Amino acid sequence: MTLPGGEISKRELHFIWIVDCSGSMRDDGKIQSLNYAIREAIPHMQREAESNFQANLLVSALKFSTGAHWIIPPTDVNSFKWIDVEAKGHTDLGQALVLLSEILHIPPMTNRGLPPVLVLLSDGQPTDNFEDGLNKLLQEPWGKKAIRISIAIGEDANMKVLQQFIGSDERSPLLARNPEALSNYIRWVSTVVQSASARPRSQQKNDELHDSNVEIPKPPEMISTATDVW
Amino acid sequence: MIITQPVSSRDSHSFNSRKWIVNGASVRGISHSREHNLNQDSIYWIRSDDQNLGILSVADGHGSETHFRSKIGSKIATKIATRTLHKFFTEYPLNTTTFPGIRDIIRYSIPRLLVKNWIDEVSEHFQRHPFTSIELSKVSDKKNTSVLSNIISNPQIAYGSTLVTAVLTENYVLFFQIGDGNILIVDNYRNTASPFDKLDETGDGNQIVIPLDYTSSLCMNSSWLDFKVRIYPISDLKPKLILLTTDGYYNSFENESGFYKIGADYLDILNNYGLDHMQNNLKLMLKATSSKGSGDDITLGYLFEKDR
Repeated sequence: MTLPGGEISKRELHFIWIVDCSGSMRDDGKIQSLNYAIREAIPHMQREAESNFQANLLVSALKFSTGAHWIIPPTDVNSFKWIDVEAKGHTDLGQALVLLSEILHIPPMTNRGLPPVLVLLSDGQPTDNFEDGLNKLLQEPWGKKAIRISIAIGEDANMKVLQQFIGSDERSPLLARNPEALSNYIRWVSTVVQSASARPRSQQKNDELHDSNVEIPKPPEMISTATDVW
Repeated sequence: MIITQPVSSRDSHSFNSRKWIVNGASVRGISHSREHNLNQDSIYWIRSDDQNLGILSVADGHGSETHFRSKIGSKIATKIATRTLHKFFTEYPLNTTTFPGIRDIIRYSIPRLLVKNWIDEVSEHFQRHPFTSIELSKVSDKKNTSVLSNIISNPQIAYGSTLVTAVLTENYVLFFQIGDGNILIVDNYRNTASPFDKLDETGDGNQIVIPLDYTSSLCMNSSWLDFKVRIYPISDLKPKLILLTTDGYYNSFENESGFYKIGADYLDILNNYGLDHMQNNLKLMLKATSSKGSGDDITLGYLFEKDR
């Protein structure tokens, strides 16, 4: 049966990893833990995406160190493969956010769709003009509406910067003190946050109690142990 | 003679009138089926031959935890709007003589009346069926206390819904809309138009983003201010087919032109295969579109001019 209308498709949901590959990520095997955690989360992400009846999940990755560049373009979640990253150089987070703002521009994005999910992983202090990059990102309508999550890798991460990236008082950066916590948080954003973003329920606009129409469930609670701490 | 025909998910029979057919169907989206949730959409119409009136309404209940009675809200919205407008236009028939005198009443007072009557009916429902502890605990599990106390102070929030209504009189066609949903007007030459261009809503279509499922609602404070109203002389518009849809339909297409194409396609189906074919297949077509597209509930109501 031919269906009335033009081409039918599900809406795209962009899920973007923004990964700190600065020199300090070499310390204590942080970069290896990050590579392992994302690689390990992919099958869970793919399984969860099977229930996304309203969205096609496109996953991409962007790294920043001295400068920033895309390492994986938007890829259907079922074809997504993680490419291990290496740690070397500065922490040019500002440049990464400028790159992000370019891909969230309309076009190539359309003005009606699902808010993208941006996941920032970092262990340190930005070495470039982070504020300018963030302003540029927030000037883009989808940058402002995006679900922004940040994960601090170790105690040295600049929590203030990571909180500024999130922008919402309702959520805080997730502090991963060890590889296990990092793995759990990465799995949580890959599955729980992904599904909440892909299946939003309709609600009234101008609802003063909510910045976003996507309800992000609470993250898992991590119990800190004395051993294996970054 | 007045014929009223609400369409439930079980049934959507067609009926004839002297000149115009009013009909439609509503289907539950796959996302709601999998989660064992009801179809949040509703549809209702009245065709009055005596007053030469056709009135059709569709509505989409919001469905989030905050709006846990939105199925009831959308049902009340379609029924109340259709009946309110039927009563109004029976008392004040709209023709070329009366039009100048009641145009402003229609534009400014009808939205207030629709909101007032919806709130009255919702309040009555709430009085008869106060919130249960189970309903409230589902909200408190997922929302902070301020959301819960807001709902308790303003019970209409639980019933939040959109509304799209078309009124066809002898000489005029009128549209009323709050929130998501679409109206397509198709003429005999398959030209398709929409009374409420998206740019009207955003001010600048390229700069303002519209997240899906983020909508104006009957339950908002002063929601009548968010109503969009259009009145056209039929002689200008020359409609052959008018379609009202909930946003699950629009959101199923890759782009806007893909959605607009349904106007001419449905006109072709009605012209080439007839009403029975249309009604026999409408639910199947809506279901298939939903499962390949938005996954959301889809409702389509239509007013179709029979060949003379």
